[in-house]
Amino acid sequence: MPEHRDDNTPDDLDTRIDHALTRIHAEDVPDEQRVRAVRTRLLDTVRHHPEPRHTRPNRVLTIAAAAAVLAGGIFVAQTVGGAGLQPSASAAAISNLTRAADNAHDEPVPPGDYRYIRTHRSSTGGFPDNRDPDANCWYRTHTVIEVWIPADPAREWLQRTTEPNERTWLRCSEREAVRQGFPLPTGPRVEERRAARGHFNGENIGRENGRDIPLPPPGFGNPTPEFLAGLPRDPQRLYHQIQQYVQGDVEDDRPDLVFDEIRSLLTTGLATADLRAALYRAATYIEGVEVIDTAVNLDGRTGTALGFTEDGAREQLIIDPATGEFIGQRSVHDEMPAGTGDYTAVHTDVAGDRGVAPS
Amino acid sequence: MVGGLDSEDALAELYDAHAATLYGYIARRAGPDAADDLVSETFLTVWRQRTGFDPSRASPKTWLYGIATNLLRRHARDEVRRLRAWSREHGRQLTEEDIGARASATADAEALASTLAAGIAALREEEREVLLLVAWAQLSPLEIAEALDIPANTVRTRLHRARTRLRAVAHNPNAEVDDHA
Repeated sequence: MPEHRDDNTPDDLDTRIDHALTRIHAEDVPDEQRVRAVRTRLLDTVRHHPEPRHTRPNRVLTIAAAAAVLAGGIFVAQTVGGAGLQPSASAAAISNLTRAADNAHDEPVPPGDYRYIRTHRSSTGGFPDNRDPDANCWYRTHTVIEVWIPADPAREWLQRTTEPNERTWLRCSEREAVRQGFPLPTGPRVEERRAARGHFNGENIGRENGRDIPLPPPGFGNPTPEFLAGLPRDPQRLYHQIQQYVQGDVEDDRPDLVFDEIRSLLTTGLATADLRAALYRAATYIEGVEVIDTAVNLDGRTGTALGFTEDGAREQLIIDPATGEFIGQRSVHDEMPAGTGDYTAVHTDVAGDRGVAPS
Repeated sequence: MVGGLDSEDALAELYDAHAATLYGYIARRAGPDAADDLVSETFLTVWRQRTGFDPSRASPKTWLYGIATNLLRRHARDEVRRLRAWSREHGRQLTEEDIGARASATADAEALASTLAAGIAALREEEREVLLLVAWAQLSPLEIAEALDIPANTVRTRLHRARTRLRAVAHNPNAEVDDHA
């Protein structure tokens, strides 16, 4: 029997989480004496030691701007700086993406019907291995999330999450998990949520310090269909608007945040074909973005991918050039063990009945 | 101390105002052994860059935490290892019954803390940073935005993701949480 997910009132759990957080490493908080000792040394250093030359604060995230062609048909961006906004990827790669943009179309959703989006996700889970302080046990598992978006998105959406709770082990085993006191759930588990506008968390985006954080007004932080409809379809203007949002007043370029925001917009399920086309083109202005000729989503469907790598984290957004659909993501990290990573396949369709997957 | 860190007295004032909390934040994240040096390096950096400080972009406090958080990134592996070790030392597996019954408040808090410590170790670094800046340094999202030079919206998003994962870990300590965004 599928296990029904218990709904603890957020109030209670959040307060308990707040309290529990104060306990972690509490014994490491220093006493006054230690704080004073550092003060003495600090002032002593300042008084008696000559200063080094003025150094700039570290830039936390720097993106290499080198161009290279890697094996497997990956074209790495040659960045072009300066006043004009030039696309970052090579001509061949842009043509693939242009094709995707030109071909982007949406199957119309008749009134009373639903946009159906099915995301199949394969991800990695783990827990500390008590036989080895530096190692984790790792397993792969997968989930299916289905969303029915009504033709009028202001009405009630349905989201169904199905967890088969099937695992394959990369390190350790099911038996080892039980032995170490981490028995994992077995058997399929289904959860359904319903909400107008897809606001499954209510009109709040969460809580912090015991208070609700309300949804912001429509904007990148709350991408309503109206907001998305109002975004520019000119790729350069769209790029600038996204960049402005993610960077705020910060001077440093943050291509990683722009890429992330584009990914976020594509996964809302609300980005219409013309917006997707503009997003694909806008993405080519991201410094360091890659376009990968051939990429395969989790279900084996082939497409072209927009890629971004930073600090060992490699992200890809996969697009079908023939239809302009966003069909999945791949996410791996260089410092994680082989076989770990997150992969999705996204299938978009039209459903007549809510809760029923189109055949 | 607006604008000018112009004397050792001013530096001492800054230290007296913020070091205790900052030290606690750093020591919890990187460990007490590394903390002395990291705290010193943070204040020395502030001192050495004082002429470049732009009070319209940050307050001295957020400037300090920005530098400290940046320095702490070199200690990420240690941080994760320490969290896992703490989790093991302080924990027993939290079960559904424990959440429901809430037997003794202290035992419950301890068990939950153990579970959360492992959950925090599994967070993305960017999510962990904002979570801990709130929990262990009591910074507001706006202050965190200033400290890390990122938009307040990004801070809120990362906080939300971090807490969502922790809530899920609290419910099911054995499963990794997916971000269904």
